[in-house]
Amino acid sequence: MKTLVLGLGNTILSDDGVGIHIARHIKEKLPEIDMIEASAAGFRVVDEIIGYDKLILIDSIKTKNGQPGTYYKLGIEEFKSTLHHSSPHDMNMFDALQLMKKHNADLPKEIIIYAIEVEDTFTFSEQCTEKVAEVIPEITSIIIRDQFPSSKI
Amino acid sequence: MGTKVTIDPITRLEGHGKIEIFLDDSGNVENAYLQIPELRGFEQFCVDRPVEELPRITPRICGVCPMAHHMASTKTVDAVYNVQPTETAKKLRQLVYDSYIFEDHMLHFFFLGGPDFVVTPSAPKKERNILGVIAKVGLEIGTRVIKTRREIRNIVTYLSGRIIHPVGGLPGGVSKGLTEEKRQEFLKIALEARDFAKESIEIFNNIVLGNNAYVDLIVGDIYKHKTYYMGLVDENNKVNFYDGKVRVVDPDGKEFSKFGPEEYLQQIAEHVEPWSYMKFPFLKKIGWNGFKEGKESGIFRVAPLARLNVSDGMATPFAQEEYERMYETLGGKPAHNTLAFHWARLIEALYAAEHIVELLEDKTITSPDIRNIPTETPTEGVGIVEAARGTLIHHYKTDEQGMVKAVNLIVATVGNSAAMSLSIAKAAKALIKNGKVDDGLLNMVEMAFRAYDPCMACATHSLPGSTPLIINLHDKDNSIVETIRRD
Repeated sequence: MKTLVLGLGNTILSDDGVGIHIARHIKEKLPEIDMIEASAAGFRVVDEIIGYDKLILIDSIKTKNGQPGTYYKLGIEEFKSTLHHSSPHDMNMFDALQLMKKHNADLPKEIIIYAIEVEDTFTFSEQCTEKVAEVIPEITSIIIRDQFPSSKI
Repeated sequence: MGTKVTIDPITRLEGHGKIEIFLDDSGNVENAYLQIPELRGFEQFCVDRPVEELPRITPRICGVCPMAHHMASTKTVDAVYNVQPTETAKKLRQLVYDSYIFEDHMLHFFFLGGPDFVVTPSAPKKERNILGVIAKVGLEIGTRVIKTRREIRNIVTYLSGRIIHPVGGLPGGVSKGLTEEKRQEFLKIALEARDFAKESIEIFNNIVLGNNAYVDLIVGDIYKHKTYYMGLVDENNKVNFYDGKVRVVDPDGKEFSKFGPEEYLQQIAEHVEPWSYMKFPFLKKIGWNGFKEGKESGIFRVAPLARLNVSDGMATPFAQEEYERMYETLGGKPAHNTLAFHWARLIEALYAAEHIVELLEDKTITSPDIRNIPTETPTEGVGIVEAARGTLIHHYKTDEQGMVKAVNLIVATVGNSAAMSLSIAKAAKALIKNGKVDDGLLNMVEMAFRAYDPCMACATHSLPGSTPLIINLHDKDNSIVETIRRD
């Protein structure tokens, strides 16, 4: 099975880069895996995932009253509410996925999303804020344990 | 002051923004503004880094147009080192850059702007999206958009290393050349892209121009402003995305100024408003006279229609034909119709595809002479390109070791910031009367700025990837009386 780890975000905008930081840590520990990092959104990301069976997407998230550093493991179905075709925002990744599916693109059959609650995504910095930075090693280990159980780490 | 209507965030755009519409006591629009969140500390982030890193850092400002920043930055570093790229490198840079313009414009026309035009502005909101566009143009066209974009992106990936974080540009040239085998392969792709660009214009003709209601909207007063225009032109005053001089024309289409990159500070100044983090560039020689259109106002516009307005034509034959047809239909040059940005965008996509074909038909593009090694002490430089969304200016100063000491950027969307606020206010005033605000009307207000294809807070992608649309209705005392949420 061809698996892709996709770190999304922007590594020069503080916590926005957390998904990429974790993806890089995973790649460091498991050099044999395919990993892509992308500072892009919507359609431009979907272009990158064609041809894989399984996608592990790691990104930042901001929820109402969310605590920075918390992480959520989500399936694509959890995003059904944003998949509405009635959503006037047509460029989110999930709408783009729907569109590509309609065109029989060879998309991953399994998509797992790890979303890390963030604090600051508007200040140019290569460092995450403290609460987010300190959970990176732990979330890296959890993803490796859950998604790559046969690895020896 | 009466009711305040807030639309937050701006829909169908990457990045978040907000339109504030203020109603008076009788429910008519007093004023409307566009706001975007601030990204903090970019200059500070760049200071004391080696200048040659900036072509790799600046693309990360924005996940939408990384190539535009990469190219502007590469040209700025050329200027800092006072080195010119070789002829072959220049061709290869243009090949990559035209490929980016083509795929970006096609994406906007079909998937971002398309819902307004191809579907219809007043269609039920569940149809005003990509799938609605596909339903209208047919699945086969949708498949071709996806396929053509992917193939053109392969050219960018090959020459730039990565499409999202390009690394192809180096001071004095590029990092990778083109083999004869690849030239032939890419030429086939380019010929198909050119055909598809022509067909896309046909689609626009049939669906948009063939519908009187659309034509009325395009030529009507709601979406019209008489402003100055700005864009790069080549030595024959033809549209050029990669290089040339910046030409400005006045609202009558007369040349107002023409200047090289190093003169931009004498030509452009930026106005600041207390209610927005976004700056509002204006023509220094005219001055800032408020959010007004006309010859006395220094507000100018950039991006596709502006580029066509400042030029004497397109440098390729098919695009030139379409250029002439557009101005004939719109009643001459310059065209002040904001919604014609969509039309101009397609003409530019056709030009980009034709130019890619021309570059690839030229066998000398495979020459290995792809870089002039810089030998001079770095100092200061300005680089200008036309991003898909308008004129993009980078300006760096370094010490003699090449370490960055100052950075100034005027990004494309900001070039249109004052005009976008003007456009939103005009549309809102014309459409919202006596407190009657509904989804269709709000969408038509949004169309006024969506035509510019603005890119707001660049490159923040926190999940879920789209935020719901929230409209808060405030009473006279500014308390929220009702919140409408559209998820």
